[in-house]
Amino acid sequence: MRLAFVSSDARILDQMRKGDEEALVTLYEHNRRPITAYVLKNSGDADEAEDVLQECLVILWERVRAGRFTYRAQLSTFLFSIAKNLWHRSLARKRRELPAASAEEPFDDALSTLDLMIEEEDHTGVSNALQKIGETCRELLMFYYWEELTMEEIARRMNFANAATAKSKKYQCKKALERILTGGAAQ
Amino acid sequence: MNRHEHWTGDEELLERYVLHRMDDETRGPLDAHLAGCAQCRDAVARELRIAAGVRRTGRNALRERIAAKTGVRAAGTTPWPRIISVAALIAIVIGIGSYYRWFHSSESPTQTLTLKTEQDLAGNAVRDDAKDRSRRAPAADSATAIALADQPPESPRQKTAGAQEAARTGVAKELLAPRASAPALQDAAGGNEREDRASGYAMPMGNTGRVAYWIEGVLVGGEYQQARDKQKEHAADELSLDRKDMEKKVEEGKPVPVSAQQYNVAQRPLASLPTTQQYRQQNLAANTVQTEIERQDGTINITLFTDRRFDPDDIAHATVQQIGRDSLVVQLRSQAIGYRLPAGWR
Repeated sequence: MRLAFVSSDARILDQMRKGDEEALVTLYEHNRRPITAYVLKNSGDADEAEDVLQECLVILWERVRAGRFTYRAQLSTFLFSIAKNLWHRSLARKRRELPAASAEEPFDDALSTLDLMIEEEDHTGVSNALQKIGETCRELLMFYYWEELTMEEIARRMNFANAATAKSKKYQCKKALERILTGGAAQ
Repeated sequence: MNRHEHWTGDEELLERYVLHRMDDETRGPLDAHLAGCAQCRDAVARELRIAAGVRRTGRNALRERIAAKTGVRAAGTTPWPRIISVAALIAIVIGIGSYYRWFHSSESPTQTLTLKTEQDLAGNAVRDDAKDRSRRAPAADSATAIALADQPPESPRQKTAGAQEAARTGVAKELLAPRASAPALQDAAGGNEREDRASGYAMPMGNTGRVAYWIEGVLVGGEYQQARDKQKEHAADELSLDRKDMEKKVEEGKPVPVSAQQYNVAQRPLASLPTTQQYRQQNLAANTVQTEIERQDGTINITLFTDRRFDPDDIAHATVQQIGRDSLVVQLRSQAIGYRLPAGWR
């Protein structure tokens, strides 16, 4: 039985590495019920459960795409653990009473500081600025910051001459973004 | 100079630090320096903001794609395309029927008013585009396009001709007539697909004293309040509803005193949108908020359908201003949603 899970997980991970978002649909369907049940059981509602589930899938997607995912347990276990973490933090923010979290959270470290920042970030400013810097810059910065591609990979995908060119372009794009952000703040 | 003095001046090092692309051995001294260097902490915070903002933008886009994909997949056992096609057909038939009804009956025009959306305001180009799209995918477009027949009450004959033109060209003219009853609306909002269709395109049912419309608002970002306070003209090029225009209206318009009308503002999740509105939602910009506005017995209920995490207190203490005759602004502390009111509402 476990082999079947591993085989299925391996297939899904392979899909994700290739950028096939259908893998997320499969995971969504397989994990919706337990995660929803958990959130509902712990003072949440269906919409919050949906939110948590989608966030889990996005986190997994990012890790796999960035090559930062290590398979230590079934994907469903990983997702459930992330969901618990996310939901407990969400509850803590709302200052609701919650049952004591399990002492055996296997992936407590799965959420980085950056994840926490992202959670708190009011991204409107950056998001608006991204819309103003042009498609090439937007795509490049997405590749770099979100997909965490190397400069070599970015150069290949965006048809730059080489990694150095991509790096130079990235610098220009980032400065353009910063100028917009700073200008907005200064006004 | 110490190797790590203001190390954040090294752009690459700063990025690696923020993106966790370094081992603990490298990271340790940098952390130690940060503890005593406010300038470097600021630099790290700026870099974190960019990284977090870019990632959040990417994540939101991915989440939207997941929602769209799972929405289709989750309904795999339900023939959604067929249902949508049928709903669109029903909408067109009812729309045409309503025009005839208006033409042949002495019923008050306010009972058959239609909704004018931002898309319609864009003029013929959009309409032509809609025709073009309807040729490519008539069922889908018919389902998404919202009634745009906001012609002045010039001539019933002209209206009928317009309806016939709508039917002939296949451009959807969904007539959003006032809803029949509050319970029907409750069922629709609860997500019952059968009821959605039944209530979403209900024919006018006589004078119930209740009028409800779907309107689409544009959410203006968190800096809106500061912009107003400072009376500065921020560029809002990316917004379809120009912020300057809104600011100008706030200043020049004659807001209806809130006390003159009783407004109730509430928020509901997107999942509770009626089916056809859910379908439409997929084609709306991220800063567009589908909203139902309802007037009954001197009370105006404004229900925002969005998954955006507004503070419940902000919703509870939202203020509403009608600006001039055709605009409405819902102010949520630091954010605002601007609406163009349908002709029928005025």
